[in-house]
Amino acid sequence: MLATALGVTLVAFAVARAAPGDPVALQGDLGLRAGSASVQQMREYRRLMGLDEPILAGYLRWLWHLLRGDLGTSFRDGRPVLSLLGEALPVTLLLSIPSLLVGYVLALPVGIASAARPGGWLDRALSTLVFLLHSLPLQWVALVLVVWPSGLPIQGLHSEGTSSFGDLLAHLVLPLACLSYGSVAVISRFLRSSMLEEMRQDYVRTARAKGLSESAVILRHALPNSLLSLITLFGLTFPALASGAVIVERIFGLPGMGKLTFEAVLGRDVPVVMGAVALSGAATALGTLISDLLYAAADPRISLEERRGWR
Amino acid sequence: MIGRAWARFARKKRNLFGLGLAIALALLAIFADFVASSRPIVLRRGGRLYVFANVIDYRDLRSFDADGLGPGDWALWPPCRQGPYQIPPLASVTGPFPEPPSRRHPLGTDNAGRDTLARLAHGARVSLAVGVAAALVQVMIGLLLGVLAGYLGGWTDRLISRTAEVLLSFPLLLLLLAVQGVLDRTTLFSTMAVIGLTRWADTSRLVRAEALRVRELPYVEASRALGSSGLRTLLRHVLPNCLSPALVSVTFGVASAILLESALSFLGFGAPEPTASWGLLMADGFQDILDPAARPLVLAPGLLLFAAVTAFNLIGDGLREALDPRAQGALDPSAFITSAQKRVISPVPKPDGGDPTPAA
Repeated sequence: MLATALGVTLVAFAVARAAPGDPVALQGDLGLRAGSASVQQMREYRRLMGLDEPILAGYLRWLWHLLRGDLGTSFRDGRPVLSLLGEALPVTLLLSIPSLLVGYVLALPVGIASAARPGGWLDRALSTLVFLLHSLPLQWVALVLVVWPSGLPIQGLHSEGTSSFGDLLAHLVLPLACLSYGSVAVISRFLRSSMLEEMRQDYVRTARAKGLSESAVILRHALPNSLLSLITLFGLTFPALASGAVIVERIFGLPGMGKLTFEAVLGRDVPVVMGAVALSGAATALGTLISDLLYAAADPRISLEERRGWR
Repeated sequence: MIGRAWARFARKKRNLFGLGLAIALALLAIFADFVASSRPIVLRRGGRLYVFANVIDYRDLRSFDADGLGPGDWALWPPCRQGPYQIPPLASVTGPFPEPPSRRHPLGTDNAGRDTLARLAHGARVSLAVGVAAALVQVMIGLLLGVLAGYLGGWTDRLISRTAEVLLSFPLLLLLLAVQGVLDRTTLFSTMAVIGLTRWADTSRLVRAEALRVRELPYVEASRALGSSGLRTLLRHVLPNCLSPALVSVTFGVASAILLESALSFLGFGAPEPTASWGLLMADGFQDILDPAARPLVLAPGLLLFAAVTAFNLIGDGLREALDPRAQGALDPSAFITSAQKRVISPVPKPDGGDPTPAA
């Protein structure tokens, strides 16, 4: 976990450092034209990135600043990166957490129905459907939903001049649909295979042998045990969601992490890019850790020791 | 071995459907110039015969005007008489761009007046080429590192597996966006390279698991006992037997690389303008999203993209089943769903006494 977190920051640093030419000099040109990045800001940036030092020393210096919560300031408007991230993160969470919930809620019946009669017509129909869902390009789905005359708002989080909860909800429907269909595919397939695994176990045979109905066997015995493994998916679907957020936020004009990163990359706002990349990597590592801990707590057969490594 | 695998593959209609779809798209990519071109395939003009004028750049035809054919001249045209980069001369422009579908442009034009159908056909070339090339880079690195990690174990394994884990922790699109963003300018080559260089972790994980299994098999022991060097054992016995997960992973890799390329191009950090890439076409359409004339530009590339991704996912699924008798079929995407998910199926020793599968 610690090693992963270190690796994540190293990659973020390497990406920024690999920029051809001096990002500061480059930004200087742009900055003078746009009149945004001041000389003082750039000096600040050189200090933060350790640009005058060898790579390793520069990395350690950047890491030290990072640990103290100092991510530098944006080239564009001179605001601290940390507060930019702080504004964008809630929007992305507002999208990703409900979309995960929607994903789980829709995936449960699909997974159970598939696993109840593997190979049956319902299973085959659902499998095909889920397979097709998985192959759908996200940006296409989003564009179709925008073009589709659904009457729902397609831009931003609020309508002009209103801030009611219902209005916010209406604005979230289409973005959520875009982010959820992928999770439904992943989670339902995962549930199906983990339920099939459970159905082969002895305790299921015992439950059947003592005369329980098939639905009781599935819902009361196989399902709870399969749900355990779904806990781990919680942390692991995060990278896919964050990737999806870049596209969804761009198309629906939502001011989240994806839009922030996209605009920072577009404007070569290196401190913001680094902060966003490091944050998203760290969030995934954290999510994985949390789901590992939850899994270990829920299933006594799993020891943390065993799950921590790659193995 | 190959014959048996093919028989298993061909048993399912959907596998053959996927293969057929992929072949059709590959043919479209290869023969894009025969589907849409601003020059005829065969042209007779002024007593001279030009063969394959659509692919060969004849000097006399540089300033070729399709309407300027004299008596006795004739031309054999591809179905669509527009090139993917052909911008109409200013004098002939009548209405605003993008144009709605018409006889001249069956799917309309983009906002520069370029024919959508022509750009779609040529876009197959970009998508498939980048997809296949990126998947090859991915599988070459992944196969090598995966086999090394699985066979050697120890600190080599730790180093490689940790690096892979770090790469898998990033939201891929975000990372690719950042990498492409720091480059001076993005090209098709850089797009292909960064996709391959970040996605190898996925392949190496599958290959490593296979190598861990293979190295315990009797024939590896036999090879060692017969005195072959570690390198020879690795190359002659372990590597060839780890090829099936690599082959499966390369197929799924093509599908996801095609998706990633289109997403990057859509965001403006993939294929550079004016390349005919499906992602860029969608981005062009997105600019005029509320204009009904841009509908085909918004919607058509996605359909082809969907077809391509479905085709390679179907092939990958079929291959996995055909190459691994233990795999359970029924479109189980636990393998085609990328990234770290497989790690979840943890190595709880199976009660039936089977091997604890190492995160396979």
